[in-house]
Amino acid sequence: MIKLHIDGQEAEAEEGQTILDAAKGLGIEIPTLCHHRAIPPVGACRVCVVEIRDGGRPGLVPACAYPAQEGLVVETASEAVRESRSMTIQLLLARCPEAEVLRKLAEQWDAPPLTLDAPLDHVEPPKGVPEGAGDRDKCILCGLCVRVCQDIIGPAATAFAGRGIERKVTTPYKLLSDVCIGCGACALVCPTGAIDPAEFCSHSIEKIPNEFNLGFDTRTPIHLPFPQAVPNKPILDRENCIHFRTGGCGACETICPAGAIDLEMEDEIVEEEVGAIIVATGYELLDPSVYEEYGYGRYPDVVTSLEFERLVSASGPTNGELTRPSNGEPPKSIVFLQCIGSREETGPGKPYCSKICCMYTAKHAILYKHKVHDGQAFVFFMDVRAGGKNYEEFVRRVSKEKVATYLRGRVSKIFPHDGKLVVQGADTLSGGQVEIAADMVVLAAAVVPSKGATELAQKLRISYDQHGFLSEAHPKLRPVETNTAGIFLAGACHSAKDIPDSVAQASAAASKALGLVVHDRLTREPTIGIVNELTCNGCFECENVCAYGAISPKDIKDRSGATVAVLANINEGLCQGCGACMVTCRSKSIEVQGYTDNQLFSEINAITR
Amino acid sequence: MTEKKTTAAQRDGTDWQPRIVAFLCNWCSYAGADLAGMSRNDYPAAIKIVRLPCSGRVDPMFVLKSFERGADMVLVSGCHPGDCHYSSGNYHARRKLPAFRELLGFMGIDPRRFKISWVSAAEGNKWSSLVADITEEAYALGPFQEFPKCTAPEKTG
Ligand SMILES: Cc1cc2nc3c(=O)[nH]c(=O)nc-3n(C[C@H](O)[C@H](O)[C@H](O)COP(=O)(O)OP(=O)(O)OC[C@H]3O[C@@H](n4cnc5c(N)ncnc54)[C@H](O)[C@@H]3O)c2cc1C
Ligand code: FES
Repeated sequence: MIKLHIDGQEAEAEEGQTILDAAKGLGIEIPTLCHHRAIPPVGACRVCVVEIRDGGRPGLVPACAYPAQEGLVVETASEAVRESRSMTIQLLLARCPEAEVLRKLAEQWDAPPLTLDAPLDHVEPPKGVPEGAGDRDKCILCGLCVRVCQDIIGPAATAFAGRGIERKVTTPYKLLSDVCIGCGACALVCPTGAIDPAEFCSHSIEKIPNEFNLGFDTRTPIHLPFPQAVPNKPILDRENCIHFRTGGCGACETICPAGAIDLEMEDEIVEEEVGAIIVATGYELLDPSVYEEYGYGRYPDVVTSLEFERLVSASGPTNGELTRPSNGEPPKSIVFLQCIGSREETGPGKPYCSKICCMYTAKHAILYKHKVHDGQAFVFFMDVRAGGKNYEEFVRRVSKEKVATYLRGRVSKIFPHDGKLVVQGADTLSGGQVEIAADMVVLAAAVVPSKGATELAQKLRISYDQHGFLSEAHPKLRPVETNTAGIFLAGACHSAKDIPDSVAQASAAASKALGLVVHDRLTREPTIGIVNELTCNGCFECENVCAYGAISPKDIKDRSGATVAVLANINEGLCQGCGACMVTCRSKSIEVQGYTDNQLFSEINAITR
Repeated sequence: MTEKKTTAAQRDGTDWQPRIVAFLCNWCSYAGADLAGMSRNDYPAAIKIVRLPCSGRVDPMFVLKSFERGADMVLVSGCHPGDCHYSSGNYHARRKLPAFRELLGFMGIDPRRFKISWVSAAEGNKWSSLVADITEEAYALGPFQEFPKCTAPEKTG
């Protein structure tokens, strides 16, 4: 361990670490621009200068590149440091007035913009020099992008060209680059946001839509699936990762300080034996583009309720600022349409009530007002169904406090006009037609089971209804169990429900499942097949029809141990008692207890008496 | 609707009511019938249900026995193909029973008297309308007498 002093505190550093690393260990922040922890430092920008007072040659040195040495005494914010740093920032800012980070640093380090005595027109760039790769008004020429491409990624697509005021980052001969793999590492490390590989890469760089924000913004191949993900760790999306597509890059493996990335890793199938399964596959919204009249999919300002949730969310694509997808302006008027595809007996919709929309629409109206204080909100509804503790009171507050104007009726058409969306509908309470010029329209589309729920149900052998919602064993008495022992339901996969109902059902399912697995022995139905060994002749037709592989040959031995017959044998643990074997057996040598032929013929006799 | 049918039979001057024997799998159709009841659906009382674990448990002999005992119609109903609780029981039924139906005519039984359907646990309404429909059909076909006539009387004691 190397010991040194930074700002009067004792700091520790390992061999090979810099003053910057040691300061970080103490929680002392030193500003940097041209430094990235994955790239060997060069100390180009000089905003990280610190003053060495003792233990080395006194003077100003770049903290990012200066090795931590035993006995150094360092000041990170001394008079000299401040002066130097402030001037560095001033000069950088004069070159790149557009760079947001520089403006922030200027404020922090008291670096007022330089005022020039004489206009700068005599230094106009010479003619015939095309633009480089970097945005001139933002590029501070720190070279991080060049270094990452050369040293970490490999293709060396960019380099410095020109001298003096002509110096810039650009591609060879300023041509579109064929070697650029479009990984975006340059843009990632650029401190000022000056570089965009899309501008010089010869092949197109696709943006990856961020699924969690419903495509309103983009994400990188390595990303957190969503902000509250458990575990809260990034995942790598192989389909879009440059390494998996081209074999190049692989920078993440080098950069990750914890060495957590292994690009050689393969998917593996994990088999677990479990005693209970809880299905909680949830819901989706019906795609409202089936209704042409609402223009969903054609007009960007017509969004679904779930998209609206993302647009107002603080962790959403706009950081909680509600804006129109079409032009980024706040919507001054908004129309919420309820029952889109719900309570529809014919047509592409669903006959059931989606149950949650009345409440979340009222919530949306409140959220809207929080974001756009002077905005106007309208709600078209069929009936407001606010059954539930404090629900009616909530909706009443929204309409009483004029958060939104509730109009009872349906909308017949939405069309764009003059930058707005004209919403034409009926107000059946006043008996008139209404026309609203809206900035945004939100469709409360019907709740439908999530994709693949039916296939999952077939795999688990549990039942589902005609809409694909999973069925409980009994609507009143066994609402969280399924017909298949050991499988339970929780949440919206069972029917449209809100969070309190989902949580209640999930808690019930969890305790049901626990009740099953805490016992040492499993109690099960006794209705399983039994072979009559006196009549079985060992044809094994039954083995062919058994879906569980429960039937296998059994050797019947005489006293001397010689096999005298090979007969069918049923494994009690595997048999589910379906009776298929029984019907197939020509000698009637298998009986399913509780459903024997004798019992059933007696039943037929009795009911046909 | 149901009531109309009963009165239609009574209009003919008979008080004959068809007897329908239904073999239902426990997991789908029986549960569907249960749901019809729970939802307070009306359907004709002409149907009598035998609960089986699976439609694959239906032995063709059950059907013949029912006809022999004077059933006017027999129904087998299970889970929709693909949804069998035992994964493949209804596939066995789906192959076996239509083939068996082809042989009914040979035995002197009108194949229209033998029905196969798939009703899921959620289809209470489908169950009630299915029963209403086949009851109506049973009325139209009239009593089935030929087959029971030629069988030996049941031994008693
Ligand atoms: C616009 C809108 C606003 C809402 N606002 C509110 C509100 O304010 N308050 C409230 O109480 N409720 C609200 N709700 C309702 C709430 O969203 C639901 O009650 C809740 O999400 C249901 O939870 P769940 O876990 O059952 O399903 P989901 O939240 O849908 O979760 C299911 C999860 O299972 C995953 N999954 C699906 N299939 C599989 C599979 N085969 N294998 C593995 N995973 C799978 C899905 O990816 C998903 O992550 C709102 C709903 C909408 C549409
Ligand atoms: S369990 Fe219903 S058909 Fe097999």
